[in-house]
Amino acid sequence: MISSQKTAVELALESQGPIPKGVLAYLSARARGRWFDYVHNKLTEAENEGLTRKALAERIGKSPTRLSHILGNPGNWTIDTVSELLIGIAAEEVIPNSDPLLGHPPRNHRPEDDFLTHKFSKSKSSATARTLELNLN
Amino acid sequence: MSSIIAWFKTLDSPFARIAIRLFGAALPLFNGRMLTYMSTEAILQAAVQRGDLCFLPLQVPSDAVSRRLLLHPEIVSALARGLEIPRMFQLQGELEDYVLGRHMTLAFEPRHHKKARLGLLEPEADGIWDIRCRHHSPGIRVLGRFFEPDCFVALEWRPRSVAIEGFDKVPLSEPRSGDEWEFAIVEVIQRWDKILPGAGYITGVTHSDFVTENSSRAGA
Repeated sequence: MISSQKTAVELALESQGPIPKGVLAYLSARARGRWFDYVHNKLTEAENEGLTRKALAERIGKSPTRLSHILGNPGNWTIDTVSELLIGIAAEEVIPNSDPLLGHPPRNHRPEDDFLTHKFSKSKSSATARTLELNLN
Repeated sequence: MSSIIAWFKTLDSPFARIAIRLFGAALPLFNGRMLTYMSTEAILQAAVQRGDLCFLPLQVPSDAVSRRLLLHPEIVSALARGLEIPRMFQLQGELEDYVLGRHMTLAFEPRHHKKARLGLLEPEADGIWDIRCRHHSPGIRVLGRFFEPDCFVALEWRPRSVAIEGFDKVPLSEPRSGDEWEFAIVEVIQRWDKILPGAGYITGVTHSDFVTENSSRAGA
């Protein structure tokens, strides 16, 4: 079952008023997670082609320890971090692009639905988890 | 039994920490719980149906889920205060990274987690990990166990070193001796035994034993 109740992020983005600080913080964390994912995928491709972490560190002027720290967690990443890593890994530059958060159709399936239909077995569920409105009974 | 554990928590000694762990492990026995066979998935399902665990509610309904993250209701309640306390909304975004299948780095050497998003805590045999949410101060740690690969059950959360206004959660680095880490770990063990009685947890040696895709060992 899909709830039509909107999330705090949806409500904030649809309104014309100030966006709450929490929503902005959430969206920043989300963006960092996306970039972290993107850079690591590029890194995996490059490592398969022979790039080493040591060579990457030398290429972008970081110590191996510092590079390892940066690649471990996106918590302190900035656009400069992304730029340096992409240049060092793949000689690529960051190109502006963005995508609207609103207007996409919701997923019509949630993880808890699998419980009801006994489909779970280490599944890669293509589901969404709007579960504050859990209603399993 | 719970009151005995609470009393030990008031003490500040290595003996008290050992006692807390021993009593915590024995708690299900003293509760007189009868364990009957249930499949592991049925145990998880029952916990969700009772409301003892909740799936992480996502903020963007079109997002596709790749991994399962189940939360203790106390964590869900904390996340629900994100509009009032922005750091909690930021935590929501960091936890969603796990659910949405984004890259995860795992550290297996206790006390050397600085580089990782997920760190295995001591003692390793307990199988307790913390999700390390480090952006800006205060850092937050979300503690739990892997119920199965790509399925993390989060049972406790704590500020790392600075208290968060509006919550009575003691930061993990206080007091000086590091007892709060022990208390938080015991809390995870007790909640696991209560909510998921008889259920095992994942142990392993490589990152893909826990997060099967799009993961790496921190520091590799």
